[in-house]
Amino acid sequence: MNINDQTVFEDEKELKGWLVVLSGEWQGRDYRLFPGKTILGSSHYAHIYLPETGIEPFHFSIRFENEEVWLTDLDSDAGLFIDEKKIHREKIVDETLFKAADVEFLIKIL
Amino acid sequence: MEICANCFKKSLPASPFCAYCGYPKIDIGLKRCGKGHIIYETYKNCPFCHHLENLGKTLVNQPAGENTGGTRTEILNVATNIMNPHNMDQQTKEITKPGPIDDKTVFETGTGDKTVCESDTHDKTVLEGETDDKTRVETLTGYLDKTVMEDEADKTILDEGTGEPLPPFFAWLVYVDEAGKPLQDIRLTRQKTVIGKSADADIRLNDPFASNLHAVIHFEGGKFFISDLGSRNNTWLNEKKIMNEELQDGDKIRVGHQNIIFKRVRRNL
Repeated sequence: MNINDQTVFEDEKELKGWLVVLSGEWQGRDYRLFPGKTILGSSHYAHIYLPETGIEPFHFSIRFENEEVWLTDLDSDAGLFIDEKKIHREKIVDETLFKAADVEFLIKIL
Repeated sequence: MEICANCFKKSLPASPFCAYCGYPKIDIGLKRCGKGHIIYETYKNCPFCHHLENLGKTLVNQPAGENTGGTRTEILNVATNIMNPHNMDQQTKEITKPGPIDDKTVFETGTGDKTVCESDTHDKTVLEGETDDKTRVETLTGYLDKTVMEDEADKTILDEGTGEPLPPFFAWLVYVDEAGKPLQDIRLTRQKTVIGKSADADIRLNDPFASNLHAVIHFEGGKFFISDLGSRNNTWLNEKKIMNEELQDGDKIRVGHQNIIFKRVRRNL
Protein backbone atom coordinates (compact mmCIF):
# COMPACT_ATOMS: atom_id res chain seq x y z
CA MET A 1 0.00 0.00 0.00
CA ASN A 2 1.59 3.21 -1.07
CA ILE A 3 0.43 6.75 -0.80
CA ASN A 4 -2.13 7.62 -3.45
CA ASP A 5 -3.21 4.01 -3.88
CA GLN A 6 -6.34 4.77 -1.97
CA THR A 7 -7.86 7.98 -3.13
CA VAL A 8 -10.67 8.66 -0.72
CA PHE A 9 -10.88 6.91 2.59
CA GLU A 10 -13.66 4.43 2.99
CA ASP A 11 -16.54 5.59 5.13
CA GLU A 12 -15.68 3.44 8.10
CA LYS A 13 -11.96 4.21 7.98
CA GLU A 14 -10.58 7.39 9.40
CA LEU A 15 -6.94 8.18 8.90
CA LYS A 16 -5.04 8.04 12.17
CA GLY A 17 -1.45 8.51 11.10
CA TRP A 18 1.42 7.24 9.05
CA LEU A 19 4.25 4.75 9.42
CA VAL A 20 7.42 6.10 7.84
CA VAL A 21 10.32 3.86 6.79
CA LEU A 22 13.60 5.60 7.58
CA SER A 23 16.16 3.03 6.45
CA GLY A 24 16.60 0.03 4.22
CA GLU A 25 15.44 -0.61 0.71
CA TRP A 26 12.08 1.02 1.30
CA GLN A 27 13.50 4.16 2.89
CA GLY A 28 11.33 7.19 2.31
CA ARG A 29 8.07 5.28 1.98
CA ASP A 30 5.12 6.02 4.18
CA TYR A 31 2.08 3.92 4.92
CA ARG A 32 -1.28 5.03 6.21
CA LEU A 33 -2.53 3.82 9.55
CA PHE A 34 -6.20 3.40 10.37
CA PRO A 35 -8.12 2.55 13.54
CA GLY A 36 -7.62 -0.95 14.84
CA LYS A 37 -4.66 -3.19 14.18
CA THR A 38 -2.18 -2.84 11.35
CA ILE A 39 0.37 -5.63 10.92
CA LEU A 40 3.67 -5.10 9.14
CA GLY A 41 5.63 -8.01 7.77
CA SER A 42 7.26 -9.64 4.78
CA SER A 43 4.18 -11.75 4.09
CA HIS A 44 1.78 -10.73 1.41
CA TYR A 45 -0.94 -11.28 3.96
CA ALA A 46 0.41 -8.55 6.25
CA HIS A 47 -1.44 -5.25 6.03
CA ILE A 48 1.85 -3.54 5.21
CA TYR A 49 4.04 -5.70 3.02
CA LEU A 50 7.73 -4.96 3.55
CA PRO A 51 10.02 -7.62 2.07
CA GLU A 52 13.18 -6.57 3.88
CA THR A 53 15.90 -8.86 5.17
CA GLY A 54 15.24 -9.71 8.80
CA ILE A 55 11.62 -8.63 8.72
CA GLU A 56 9.44 -11.59 9.55
CA PRO A 57 6.19 -12.46 7.77
CA PHE A 58 4.22 -10.88 10.63
CA HIS A 59 6.73 -8.83 12.54
CA PHE A 60 4.88 -6.23 14.56
CA SER A 61 1.52 -4.58 14.87
CA ILE A 62 0.37 -1.04 15.53
CA ARG A 63 -2.98 -0.63 17.17
CA PHE A 64 -4.97 2.60 17.44
CA GLU A 65 -7.44 2.17 20.26
CA ASN A 66 -9.19 4.69 22.48
CA GLU A 67 -6.90 7.54 21.45
CA GLU A 68 -3.90 5.41 22.39
CA VAL A 69 -1.34 3.83 20.11
CA TRP A 70 0.23 0.49 20.97
CA LEU A 71 3.22 -1.12 19.31
CA THR A 72 3.41 -4.90 19.72
CA ASP A 73 6.12 -7.36 18.72
CA LEU A 74 4.55 -10.47 17.20
CA ASP A 75 7.09 -12.87 18.71
CA SER A 76 9.69 -12.07 16.09
CA ASP A 77 13.22 -13.48 16.23
CA ALA A 78 14.86 -10.21 15.32
CA GLY A 79 12.79 -8.31 17.86
CA LEU A 80 11.47 -4.80 18.15
CA PHE A 81 13.46 -1.99 19.74
CA ILE A 82 12.78 1.49 21.03
CA ASP A 83 15.93 3.37 22.01
CA GLU A 84 17.94 0.13 21.80
CA LYS A 85 15.63 -1.44 24.35
CA LYS A 86 13.79 -4.58 23.30
CA ILE A 87 10.08 -4.28 23.77
CA HIS A 88 7.13 -6.63 23.59
CA ARG A 89 4.21 -4.24 23.87
CA GLU A 90 4.61 -0.53 24.37
CA LYS A 91 2.41 2.52 24.29
CA ILE A 92 3.87 4.99 21.83
CA VAL A 93 3.40 8.66 21.07
CA ASP A 94 3.73 10.91 18.05
CA GLU A 95 7.10 10.67 16.27
CA THR A 96 8.31 7.61 18.16
CA LEU A 97 11.32 6.04 16.52
CA PHE A 98 11.69 2.27 16.65
CA LYS A 99 13.61 -0.47 14.96
CA ALA A 100 12.55 -3.87 13.61
CA ALA A 101 15.48 -6.05 12.47
CA ASP A 102 17.73 -3.44 10.84
CA VAL A 103 14.94 -1.23 9.59
CA GLU A 104 14.11 2.04 11.31
CA PHE A 105 10.57 3.33 11.46
CA LEU A 106 8.81 6.43 12.69
CA ILE A 107 5.19 6.82 13.71
CA LYS A 108 3.44 10.05 12.82
CA ILE A 109 0.06 10.50 14.45
CA LEU A 110 -2.53 12.73 12.85
CA MET B 1 -32.60 36.68 -6.15
CA GLU B 2 -32.82 32.94 -5.74
CA ILE B 3 -33.57 30.97 -2.62
CA CYS B 4 -31.33 28.06 -1.74
CA ALA B 5 -33.22 24.78 -1.43
CA ASN B 6 -30.92 23.71 1.38
CA CYS B 7 -30.59 26.71 3.70
CA PHE B 8 -33.40 28.90 2.30
CA LYS B 9 -31.17 31.99 2.14
CA LYS B 10 -31.18 34.41 -0.75
CA SER B 11 -28.17 34.81 -2.95
CA LEU B 12 -27.16 36.05 -6.36
CA PRO B 13 -28.72 34.19 -9.27
CA ALA B 14 -25.48 34.01 -11.28
CA SER B 15 -23.84 31.63 -8.85
CA PRO B 16 -24.23 27.88 -9.34
CA PHE B 17 -23.78 27.29 -5.61
CA CYS B 18 -25.33 28.90 -2.57
CA ALA B 19 -22.87 31.41 -1.12
CA TYR B 20 -23.86 30.40 2.40
CA CYS B 21 -23.95 26.61 2.40
CA GLY B 22 -22.43 25.66 -0.95
CA TYR B 23 -25.48 23.74 -2.07
CA PRO B 24 -25.96 23.69 -5.86
CA LYS B 25 -28.74 26.02 -6.94
CA ILE B 26 -29.01 25.42 -10.64
CA ASP B 27 -29.39 22.32 -12.66
CA ILE B 28 -26.00 20.64 -12.76
CA GLY B 29 -27.49 17.20 -13.27
CA LEU B 30 -27.20 15.60 -9.87
CA LYS B 31 -29.22 12.75 -8.48
CA ARG B 32 -29.13 10.40 -5.53
CA CYS B 33 -28.44 6.70 -5.56
CA GLY B 34 -30.68 4.37 -3.58
CA LYS B 35 -28.44 4.73 -0.56
CA GLY B 36 -28.49 8.50 -0.66
CA HIS B 37 -25.12 9.38 -2.21
CA ILE B 38 -25.16 12.42 -4.48
CA ILE B 39 -23.86 11.58 -7.94
CA TYR B 40 -24.02 12.95 -11.47
CA GLU B 41 -27.05 12.15 -13.58
CA THR B 42 -24.85 10.55 -16.20
CA TYR B 43 -23.70 7.82 -13.83
CA LYS B 44 -25.33 4.46 -14.35
CA ASN B 45 -24.36 3.22 -10.92
CA CYS B 46 -23.13 4.88 -7.78
CA PRO B 47 -19.33 5.21 -7.56
CA PHE B 48 -19.49 5.15 -3.77
CA CYS B 49 -21.60 2.08 -3.17
CA HIS B 50 -22.32 0.74 -6.70
CA HIS B 51 -26.00 0.93 -5.92
CA LEU B 52 -28.10 0.55 -9.03
CA GLU B 53 -31.60 1.27 -7.82
CA ASN B 54 -33.58 4.49 -7.71
CA LEU B 55 -31.19 6.48 -9.83
CA GLY B 56 -33.75 8.58 -11.61
CA LYS B 57 -34.30 11.09 -8.86
CA THR B 58 -32.94 14.48 -9.74
CA LEU B 59 -31.71 16.51 -6.83
CA VAL B 60 -31.69 20.10 -7.87
CA ASN B 61 -34.38 22.43 -9.10
CA GLN B 62 -36.88 20.71 -6.90
CA PRO B 63 -39.23 22.37 -4.46
CA ALA B 64 -37.69 23.12 -1.13
CA GLY B 65 -40.08 20.78 0.63
CA GLU B 66 -38.74 17.83 -1.32
CA ASN B 67 -35.13 18.66 -0.69
CA THR B 68 -33.30 15.55 0.41
CA GLY B 69 -30.32 17.47 1.68
CA GLY B 70 -26.69 16.83 0.91
CA THR B 71 -23.39 18.05 2.16
CA ARG B 72 -20.76 19.99 0.37
CA THR B 73 -18.37 17.11 0.87
CA GLU B 74 -20.64 14.77 -1.00
CA ILE B 75 -20.87 17.19 -3.87
CA LEU B 76 -17.10 17.52 -3.98
CA ASN B 77 -16.84 13.77 -4.00
CA VAL B 78 -19.02 13.75 -7.06
CA ALA B 79 -16.78 16.24 -8.77
CA THR B 80 -13.78 14.11 -7.92
CA ASN B 81 -15.26 10.95 -9.27
CA ILE B 82 -15.60 12.49 -12.68
CA MET B 83 -11.88 12.05 -12.99
CA ASN B 84 -11.84 8.58 -11.49
CA PRO B 85 -10.65 6.20 -14.22
CA HIS B 86 -12.75 3.45 -12.67
CA ASN B 87 -15.85 5.39 -13.58
CA MET B 88 -14.79 6.36 -17.07
CA ASP B 89 -16.62 3.48 -18.67
CA GLN B 90 -19.70 4.13 -16.64
CA GLN B 91 -20.29 7.68 -17.69
CA THR B 92 -20.33 9.81 -20.73
CA LYS B 93 -16.95 11.04 -21.85
CA GLU B 94 -17.68 14.68 -21.34
CA ILE B 95 -19.56 16.04 -18.42
CA THR B 96 -20.51 19.64 -18.21
CA LYS B 97 -20.15 21.05 -14.76
CA PRO B 98 -22.15 23.81 -13.14
CA GLY B 99 -23.82 25.74 -15.90
CA PRO B 100 -23.23 29.34 -16.85
CA ILE B 101 -20.85 31.04 -14.51
CA ASP B 102 -19.97 34.66 -14.84
CA ASP B 103 -16.30 35.46 -15.10
CA LYS B 104 -16.24 37.14 -11.75
CA THR B 105 -19.16 36.74 -9.45
CA VAL B 106 -18.97 38.50 -6.14
CA PHE B 107 -20.76 37.05 -3.15
CA GLU B 108 -21.30 38.92 0.02
CA THR B 109 -21.34 36.57 2.94
CA GLY B 110 -23.23 37.09 6.16
CA THR B 111 -20.13 38.40 7.88
CA GLY B 112 -19.68 41.15 5.35
CA ASP B 113 -16.63 39.54 3.74
CA LYS B 114 -16.59 39.48 -0.01
CA THR B 115 -15.60 36.32 -1.79
CA VAL B 116 -15.06 36.18 -5.48
CA CYS B 117 -15.89 33.23 -7.62
CA GLU B 118 -13.58 32.92 -10.59
CA SER B 119 -14.55 30.70 -13.44
CA ASP B 120 -12.28 29.23 -16.01
CA THR B 121 -12.58 26.75 -18.78
CA HIS B 122 -10.96 23.99 -16.73
CA ASP B 123 -14.01 23.84 -14.55
CA LYS B 124 -16.63 23.71 -17.21
CA THR B 125 -15.59 20.70 -19.17
CA VAL B 126 -13.85 17.94 -17.39
CA LEU B 127 -10.91 16.09 -18.75
CA GLU B 128 -11.95 14.04 -21.69
CA GLY B 129 -9.24 11.45 -22.30
CA GLU B 130 -6.90 13.04 -19.82
CA THR B 131 -6.08 9.70 -18.29
CA ASP B 132 -4.44 8.57 -21.50
CA ASP B 133 -1.14 10.41 -21.27
CA LYS B 134 -0.33 10.00 -17.58
CA THR B 135 -1.50 7.93 -14.71
CA ARG B 136 -3.23 10.50 -12.62
CA VAL B 137 -4.37 10.13 -9.12
CA GLU B 138 -7.47 11.92 -8.15
CA THR B 139 -7.65 13.55 -4.78
CA LEU B 140 -10.76 14.70 -3.06
CA THR B 141 -10.58 17.95 -4.89
CA GLY B 142 -8.14 17.37 -7.67
CA TYR B 143 -5.46 15.04 -8.87
CA LEU B 144 -1.80 14.36 -8.64
CA ASP B 145 0.46 12.71 -11.10
CA LYS B 146 0.84 9.26 -9.58
CA THR B 147 3.95 8.33 -11.53
CA VAL B 148 5.76 11.46 -10.49
CA MET B 149 4.68 11.23 -6.89
CA GLU B 150 5.72 7.58 -6.55
CA ASP B 151 9.09 8.26 -8.09
CA GLU B 152 9.67 11.30 -5.97
CA ALA B 153 8.91 9.42 -2.76
CA ASP B 154 12.10 7.42 -3.22
CA LYS B 155 14.37 10.12 -4.61
CA THR B 156 16.64 12.58 -2.95
CA ILE B 157 15.13 15.99 -3.49
CA LEU B 158 17.50 18.65 -4.79
CA ASP B 159 17.34 22.31 -3.92
CA GLU B 160 15.99 24.14 -6.95
CA GLY B 161 18.37 27.03 -6.37
CA THR B 162 21.65 25.44 -5.41
CA GLY B 163 21.17 21.91 -6.73
CA GLU B 164 22.33 20.54 -3.38
CA PRO B 165 20.40 17.60 -1.93
CA LEU B 166 17.82 18.66 0.61
CA PRO B 167 17.56 16.96 3.99
CA PRO B 168 14.85 14.30 3.97
CA PHE B 169 11.45 15.55 4.98
CA PHE B 170 8.08 13.99 5.58
CA ALA B 171 5.03 16.21 5.33
CA TRP B 172 1.42 15.71 4.38
CA LEU B 173 -1.63 17.76 3.56
CA VAL B 174 -4.79 16.25 4.97
CA TYR B 175 -8.14 17.35 3.58
CA VAL B 176 -10.74 17.45 6.30
CA ASP B 177 -14.46 18.10 6.27
CA GLU B 178 -16.23 20.76 8.30
CA ALA B 179 -16.27 18.48 11.33
CA GLY B 180 -12.53 17.91 11.07
CA LYS B 181 -12.79 14.33 9.86
CA PRO B 182 -9.89 13.48 7.56
CA LEU B 183 -11.01 12.71 4.04
CA GLN B 184 -7.76 12.33 2.19
CA ASP B 185 -4.04 12.89 2.54
CA ILE B 186 -1.38 13.94 0.10
CA ARG B 187 2.32 13.51 0.78
CA LEU B 188 4.48 16.49 -0.10
CA THR B 189 7.41 15.21 -2.12
CA ARG B 190 8.59 18.37 -3.84
CA GLN B 191 10.40 21.43 -2.64
CA LYS B 192 7.57 23.54 -4.02
CA THR B 193 3.97 22.39 -4.23
CA VAL B 194 1.49 24.72 -5.90
CA ILE B 195 -2.16 24.48 -4.90
CA GLY B 196 -4.79 25.87 -7.23
CA LYS B 197 -7.58 25.34 -9.67
CA SER B 198 -5.42 25.29 -12.78
CA ALA B 199 -4.15 22.12 -14.39
CA ASP B 200 -0.68 23.60 -13.90
CA ALA B 201 -1.01 23.34 -10.13
CA ASP B 202 0.57 20.36 -8.42
CA ILE B 203 -2.54 19.87 -6.34
CA ARG B 204 -5.65 20.79 -8.26
CA LEU B 205 -8.70 22.02 -6.43
CA ASN B 206 -12.19 21.67 -7.79
CA ASP B 207 -13.34 24.71 -5.93
CA PRO B 208 -14.81 27.79 -7.61
CA PHE B 209 -13.53 29.92 -4.75
CA ALA B 210 -9.91 28.94 -5.34
CA SER B 211 -7.70 30.81 -7.78
CA ASN B 212 -5.93 29.08 -10.61
CA LEU B 213 -2.61 29.26 -8.79
CA HIS B 214 -3.72 29.96 -5.26
CA ALA B 215 -0.85 29.21 -2.90
CA VAL B 216 2.50 27.50 -2.79
CA ILE B 217 4.07 25.44 -0.02
CA HIS B 218 7.82 25.40 -0.14
CA PHE B 219 10.54 23.75 1.91
CA GLU B 220 13.59 25.80 2.75
CA GLY B 221 16.21 25.54 5.46
CA GLY B 222 14.44 22.68 7.19
CA LYS B 223 11.21 24.65 7.44
CA PHE B 224 8.00 24.74 5.48
CA PHE B 225 6.46 27.99 4.34
CA ILE B 226 3.16 28.80 2.71
CA SER B 227 2.81 31.79 0.39
CA ASP B 228 -0.27 33.23 -1.19
CA LEU B 229 0.10 33.64 -4.94
CA GLY B 230 -2.09 36.73 -5.22
CA SER B 231 -5.30 34.80 -4.90
CA ARG B 232 -8.64 36.60 -4.93
CA ASN B 233 -10.04 35.00 -1.80
CA ASN B 234 -6.75 34.87 0.07
CA THR B 235 -5.04 32.03 1.85
CA TRP B 236 -5.91 31.49 5.48
CA LEU B 237 -3.71 29.93 8.12
CA ASN B 238 -5.34 29.15 11.46
CA GLU B 239 -8.15 31.54 10.49
CA LYS B 240 -5.74 34.41 9.76
CA LYS B 241 -5.18 35.86 6.35
CA ILE B 242 -1.56 35.36 5.38
CA MET B 243 0.85 36.25 2.60
CA ASN B 244 3.92 34.26 3.62
CA GLU B 245 4.10 32.28 6.84
CA GLU B 246 6.05 29.43 8.29
CA LEU B 247 4.03 26.25 8.67
CA GLN B 248 3.99 24.29 11.89
CA ASP B 249 2.84 20.74 12.43
CA GLY B 250 -0.95 20.71 12.76
CA ASP B 251 -1.59 24.11 11.18
CA LYS B 252 -4.98 24.57 9.54
CA ILE B 253 -4.94 25.99 6.02
CA ARG B 254 -7.98 27.22 4.14
CA VAL B 255 -7.87 27.64 0.39
CA GLY B 256 -11.18 28.53 -1.20
CA HIS B 257 -13.64 26.39 0.74
CA GLN B 258 -11.15 23.60 1.38
CA ASN B 259 -9.93 22.91 4.87
CA ILE B 260 -6.48 21.37 4.96
CA ILE B 261 -4.32 20.30 7.88
CA PHE B 262 -0.58 20.42 7.47
CA LYS B 263 1.35 17.63 9.17
CA ARG B 264 5.09 17.14 9.21
CA VAL B 265 7.75 15.15 11.00
CA ARG B 266 9.50 17.62 13.26
CA ARG B 267 12.52 15.48 14.04
CA ASN B 268 15.76 16.04 12.20
CA LEU B 269 16.23 12.84 10.20
